[in-house]
Amino acid sequence: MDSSETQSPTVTQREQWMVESQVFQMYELLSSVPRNAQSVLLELQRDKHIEFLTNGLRQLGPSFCVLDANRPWLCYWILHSIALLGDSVDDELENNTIDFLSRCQDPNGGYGGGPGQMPHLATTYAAINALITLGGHRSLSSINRGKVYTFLRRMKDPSGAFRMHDAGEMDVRACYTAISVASVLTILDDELVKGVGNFILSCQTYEGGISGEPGSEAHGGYTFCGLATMVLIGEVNRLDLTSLIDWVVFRQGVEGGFQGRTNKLVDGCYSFWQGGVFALIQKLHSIIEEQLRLLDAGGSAIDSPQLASISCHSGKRGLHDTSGSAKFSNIGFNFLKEPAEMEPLFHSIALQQYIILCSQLQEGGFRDKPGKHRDYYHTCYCLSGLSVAQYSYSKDADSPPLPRAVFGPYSNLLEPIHPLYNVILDLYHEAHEFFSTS
Amino acid sequence: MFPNHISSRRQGWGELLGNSSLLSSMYFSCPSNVWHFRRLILEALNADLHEELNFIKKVANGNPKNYQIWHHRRWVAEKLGSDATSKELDFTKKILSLDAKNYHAWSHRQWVLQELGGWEDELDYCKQLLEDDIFNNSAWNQVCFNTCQRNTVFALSTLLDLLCHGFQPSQDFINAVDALKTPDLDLSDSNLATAVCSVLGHMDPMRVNYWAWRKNKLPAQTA
Repeated sequence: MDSSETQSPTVTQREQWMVESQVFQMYELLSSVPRNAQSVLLELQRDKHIEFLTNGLRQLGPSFCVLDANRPWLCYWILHSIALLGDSVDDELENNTIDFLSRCQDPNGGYGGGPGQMPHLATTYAAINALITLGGHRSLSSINRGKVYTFLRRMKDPSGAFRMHDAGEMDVRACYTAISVASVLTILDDELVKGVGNFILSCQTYEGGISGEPGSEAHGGYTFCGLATMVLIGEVNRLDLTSLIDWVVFRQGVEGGFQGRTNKLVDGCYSFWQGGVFALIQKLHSIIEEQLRLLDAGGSAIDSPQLASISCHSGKRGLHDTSGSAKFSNIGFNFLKEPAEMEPLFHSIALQQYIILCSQLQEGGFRDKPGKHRDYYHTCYCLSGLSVAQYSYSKDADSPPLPRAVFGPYSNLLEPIHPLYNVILDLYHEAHEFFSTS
Repeated sequence: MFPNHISSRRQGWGELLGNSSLLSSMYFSCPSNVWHFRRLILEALNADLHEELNFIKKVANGNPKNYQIWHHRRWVAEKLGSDATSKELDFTKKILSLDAKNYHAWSHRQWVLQELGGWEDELDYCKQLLEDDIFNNSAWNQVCFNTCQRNTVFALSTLLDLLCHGFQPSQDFINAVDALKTPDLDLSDSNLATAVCSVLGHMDPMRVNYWAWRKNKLPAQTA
């Protein structure tokens, strides 16, 4: 090799070095300032975030025309963020939001981006999660479950996957939004489930992560969606979980945060998409053990008949009730009961450090990375990821973490979530109770 | 919101396809609906879809990561069929020259290769990208995609030839082919050789007639 030959850095390298230098600057800043300034930097700026979020909700009117199709998303991102911070909105705002979302409901089922717009799986997911986050009888009863079911059936493709809207694109996102909604509303059945597992399996790549469509690159967002969906339909044992783990652990970079794909840049939103994968993995302990055992024994990790019976974390409790939708309706609920038998496989404190020091803005809101602007999407997923990280050492989904599990002051602690749906745990329970009995 | 009687309103609609700024702002304020509406008009007017590709190109310039635009492009390309192949490969190449990791562009490119063909130069293209930036994981993924797709078709066609020559398959082969079946394939294929032909017809659409012909011509005793 010619020693005088120097390769100039590639685009990937240049961009990565720039981000690293900005991030490390922020970490160095922390260690160089006096103690009282330090504690400000380590603190979650709750009041500022609430202010930023509440203003966003109030302004969801004419001034938001660019994101007109995204208003249900904005409702969810904002309401969920407020709930994570342990706060809530006033009655007027709550009622206005319920009314608005009701007007987004299509007469034939599903929710569109705004009143009169075509129903779409993503906005349906957002609207329903937003309504669950508001909670209460008025909010939950505004959801026409029968019509939602009809809409989901219409979005189902013969191949097994789902389309985002009439004649829309088919991908793992569509599968997750459909299955998540059906599950949380307790309307998930064999008709909706059939073939979904095959489609998602075909999206697990050679890297171990999951792509949006068969053949595409392994991607954090789709990996969360794919894994959560497989859990919800009781087929998670069919995924190669060991190679999925092997892929996702290397997505946490020196910055502490996560990248979405190999050799791409860190982004605060992956705190949830990738961090959430770890939260799910922790509950799949027995299936993973079995897959590892089979690998050691020289077999294929996914062909074991024992696996099929351990399947979906309902292992010991059994999944023997095969009557239609009852078969699937308790998966989400029972998932919570599985203790987290293993320590988190990611560095929880490093992730929290990235979120608080690099994504958080002192004036309120969260961003992708230093240099980017804040927005509600990043605020939602940075906070969701922060919650996941804070509770990652807790054996049970809602048992309060030890102080050492929380980066910064203990007052930074957020509300716990249900990692399959990304709604606040208590609010999930309220909704589950409501939909199971109505 | 959407008119029921398209034919009666034909005349004014040609204008609606035009690239006015009003229309542009509609496309980003109300995505799914407006693109859907546009597709209805394009069909009703039997519009020139090559022109439509040019229109999408302009719109995509400022919005290379917009789901609706890429979905619309796929719809148009599907209608044009293999007429669109080189245009689509050029288009994705152009987008990737600005952002070599654009997820939508790669997915679209894979769809084009899968449905319309054009594989011949793909590995060379990946090689070029990797020479520019060896860390481009999207390009690595594409190399794998290329290899896996081509290899699977090659492996299956080899298996088919072997079966026609009297090869008795083990359960492993049967399972492997079974895993490749999609729900929409004719599941009444009772023997492996006809199943292989069905799968090949699906995975290798360029030669769908050939695989159907092979299925017809299978020797009587084939497993």
